[in-house]
Amino acid sequence: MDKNDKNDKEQWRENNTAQLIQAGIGADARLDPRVKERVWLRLAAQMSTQPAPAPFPDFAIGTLGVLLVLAAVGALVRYLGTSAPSMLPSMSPSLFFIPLFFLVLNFAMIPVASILIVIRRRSHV
Amino acid sequence: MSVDDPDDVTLVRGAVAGNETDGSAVLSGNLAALYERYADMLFAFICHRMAGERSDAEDVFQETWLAALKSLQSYRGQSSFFTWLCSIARNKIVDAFRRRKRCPAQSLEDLPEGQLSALQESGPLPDEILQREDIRVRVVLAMATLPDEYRTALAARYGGPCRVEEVAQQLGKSLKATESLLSRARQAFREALSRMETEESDGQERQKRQRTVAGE
Repeated sequence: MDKNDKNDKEQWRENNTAQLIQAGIGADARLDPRVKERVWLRLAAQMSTQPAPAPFPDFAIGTLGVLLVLAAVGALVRYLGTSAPSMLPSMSPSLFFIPLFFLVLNFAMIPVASILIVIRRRSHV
Repeated sequence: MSVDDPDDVTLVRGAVAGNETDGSAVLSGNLAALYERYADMLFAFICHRMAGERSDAEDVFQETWLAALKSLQSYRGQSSFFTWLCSIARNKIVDAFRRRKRCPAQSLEDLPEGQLSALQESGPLPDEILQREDIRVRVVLAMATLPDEYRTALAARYGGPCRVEEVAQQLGKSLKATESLLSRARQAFREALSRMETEESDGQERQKRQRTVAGE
């Protein structure tokens, strides 16, 4: 490519860039300053009437988490305390299944609670 | 956006936090900064998408900002704030066209033959390309990705349009510094445009591949 071609190409590029920008943000699409001001005033009015969103209940979530852990530990203790005797032939099998049921229930609640926490977190920046 | 200017995510988080703690001054200040940064670009985007219907575009512009204020807390910074605004604007435009029972402007997928950035170097751009709504929208989207300093300089020079001397006066810079700034801004604009085209063609390629895999 000789020097003239290079200069032409450069010139075209500069002109075309200018033309493109002009087409994109030229007079046809320019925001009227009065409209800009009017919309801003409307936004400002909206801001003053917009209620603040309710604060995210971190304390409630923390308490729920602690309660879940305590419930799981309680169920585990109950299970450990009752499972050994229940293995004996003289003991009723319900003594084994009842605490096991509650233990499973408690563990099942953990992912449910986690999902709920995530959902609430996502709907609240 | 210059180095000292806070980015969009910081401004939005500040505004949301200000709203929650009843710091309406913070909300107002941060939103004002975002409004100042994107109002003109957003209006240009809406105007082109609505095929130059100014009064409708003004209504949609207002509706978009009000909707953005309402759902500000749902902005997570996964895309740029302007892209997020444009997605709200698109829905508002569709609503406006539905009210008037008309169709929105062509989509960005309808490219002219060849890539725009390549076309720019091959000779003078034909008028029909400059008149196309999708090309104009693309220019606005590329402009919105530029730092504030570049965007302001380009908008003053070509949007005004002003002579370089006037731009220099507006920006409070010397003539030489303004010429250099404009040159860098044009270069950044071309790069942004070309980056957008690469991303679009990658996206189209991905969609094609997915369709092939799905056996369509």
